[in-house]
Amino acid sequence: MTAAGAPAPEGAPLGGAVAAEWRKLRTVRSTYGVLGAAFAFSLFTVLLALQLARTWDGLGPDDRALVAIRPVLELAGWVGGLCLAILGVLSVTSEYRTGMVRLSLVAVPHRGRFLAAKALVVGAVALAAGQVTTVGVFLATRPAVGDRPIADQRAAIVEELPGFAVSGLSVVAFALFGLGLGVLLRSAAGAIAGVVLVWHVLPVAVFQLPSPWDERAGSVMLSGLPAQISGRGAESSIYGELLPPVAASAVLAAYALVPLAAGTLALRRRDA
Amino acid sequence: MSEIGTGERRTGLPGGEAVTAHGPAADAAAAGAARAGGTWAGAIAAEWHKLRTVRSTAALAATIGAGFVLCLLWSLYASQYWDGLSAERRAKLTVAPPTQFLELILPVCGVVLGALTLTSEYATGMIRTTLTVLPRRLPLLVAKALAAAGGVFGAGLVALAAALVAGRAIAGGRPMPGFEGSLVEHLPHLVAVALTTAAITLMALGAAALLRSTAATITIGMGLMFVAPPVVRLLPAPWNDRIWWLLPTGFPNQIAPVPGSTAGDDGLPAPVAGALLVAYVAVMVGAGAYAFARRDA
Repeated sequence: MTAAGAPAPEGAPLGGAVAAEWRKLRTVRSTYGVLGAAFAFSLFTVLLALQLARTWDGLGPDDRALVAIRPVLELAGWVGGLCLAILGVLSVTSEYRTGMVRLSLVAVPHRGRFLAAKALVVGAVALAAGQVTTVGVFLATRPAVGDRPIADQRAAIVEELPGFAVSGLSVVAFALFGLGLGVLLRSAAGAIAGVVLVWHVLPVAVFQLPSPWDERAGSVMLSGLPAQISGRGAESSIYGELLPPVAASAVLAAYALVPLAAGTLALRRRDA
Repeated sequence: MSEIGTGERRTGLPGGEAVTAHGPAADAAAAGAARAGGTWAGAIAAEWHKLRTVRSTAALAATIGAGFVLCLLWSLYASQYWDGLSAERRAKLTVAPPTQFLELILPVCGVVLGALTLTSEYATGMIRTTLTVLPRRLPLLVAKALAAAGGVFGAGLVALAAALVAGRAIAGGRPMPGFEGSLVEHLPHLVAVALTTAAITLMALGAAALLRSTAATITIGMGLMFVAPPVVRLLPAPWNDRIWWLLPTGFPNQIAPVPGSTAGDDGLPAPVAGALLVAYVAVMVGAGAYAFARRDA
């Protein structure tokens, strides 16, 4: 905690910078705003799924075959990705807006360490929030679905868990992507617009391309990657399914790391 | 500003400085406003000047320009695709109109512009200077609304019209749906898209006056625009359709669909959609104006 108050000497461990970033993140109001939004939306998707499971009871066999609960559950992780990306953006741009970034860089002059601390803290929060919005939502819905043989709910919990956990990892990628974009643009408006572009506007635009480009470009959209990593395919979604799991994992990592690397370079070269 | 205005009074009582500091400056501002044709004209001129000279407007203009280029690429690709099709597949083909990408990008630009028009001044603290020059809240907000909505409407309409004309030139005589017909038939749809964008800009401005935060306003705007539609589709019938029709991003197709398209067929009648759009703007801007007038900066 000492590093938060006094300038850290060059070569000091990362711990102080991480502690400082953690304190900033947990004491600003916007953190609770975005996390609250992600959590509230997760709760809402659980309710929607419960309602859907109850509707299923009253349907005939043909209609029952059409009921799918998984797309409802996946909405929570999708919105969670947006919320945590905004958290990543705000963890940097709010300091630029108030000018506090100058003070932060006086305390932690090493740019790489400054950004690494932010990435660690934002990444850890996103990891937790991501698992809550994916695995958490899935586990919360399962008891209510009970032993109804709904088409996409027959697999055992253990079989389904890895897929949801991977979806949760895409939330981390979104958060780090937002952080990198925030460092590059130094503006909340620009970075949030950029995040929304990658999160939804681009996938929708790409989906309207004529084939085979819709499938090709749709396969590298961030939100479509978890399904390809766990080999689920992209049935009836706007994303593609051309990438093998390893390639999809690499693209997911690139979404998180390339903007961060570019941000580190920019941060080193520019003055605050 | 106070140092300039009170330069000759520096030798006087220290307490006198603060009291008289705003005198000459306020007089000059009032005189300036009077010269420009009163409070309203001066306020609008000032807001237009701000809008024109900030970097974010240039970024938004560049975004709209990029949307235009994407539209051109789309028209090129669609034309080539069309040439390779058999007659029966042509008959069944539904092509996105040449303005598709702009129609996707413009509402995003509207939300960002509407938010930044007000929140950027809160972020820098310049709102206090603005309110010192123009203490009446309502004319200020109206001037901001006119500058932002007018600017985005003009830019949007020009870009849409350019994309349509260029797309039709690229398509040549190919009878592709969405590209054919006379220009006059297409005009109502373009105006509807530009008007909806201006309305979204105004709603964002109203939200900005309530929230006074760039991040919160843009996030909530984007959330309503992009998260609401898929969630609404999942609601139990008949509420999925009923609420779906109330979402403003679908209004252009309900007010004036693309000639030859069936996109707005089961939606609201055009006058109802138009009236709803006006009502949304009135509610959001009204709530924003109320908060703006009641709170201190």
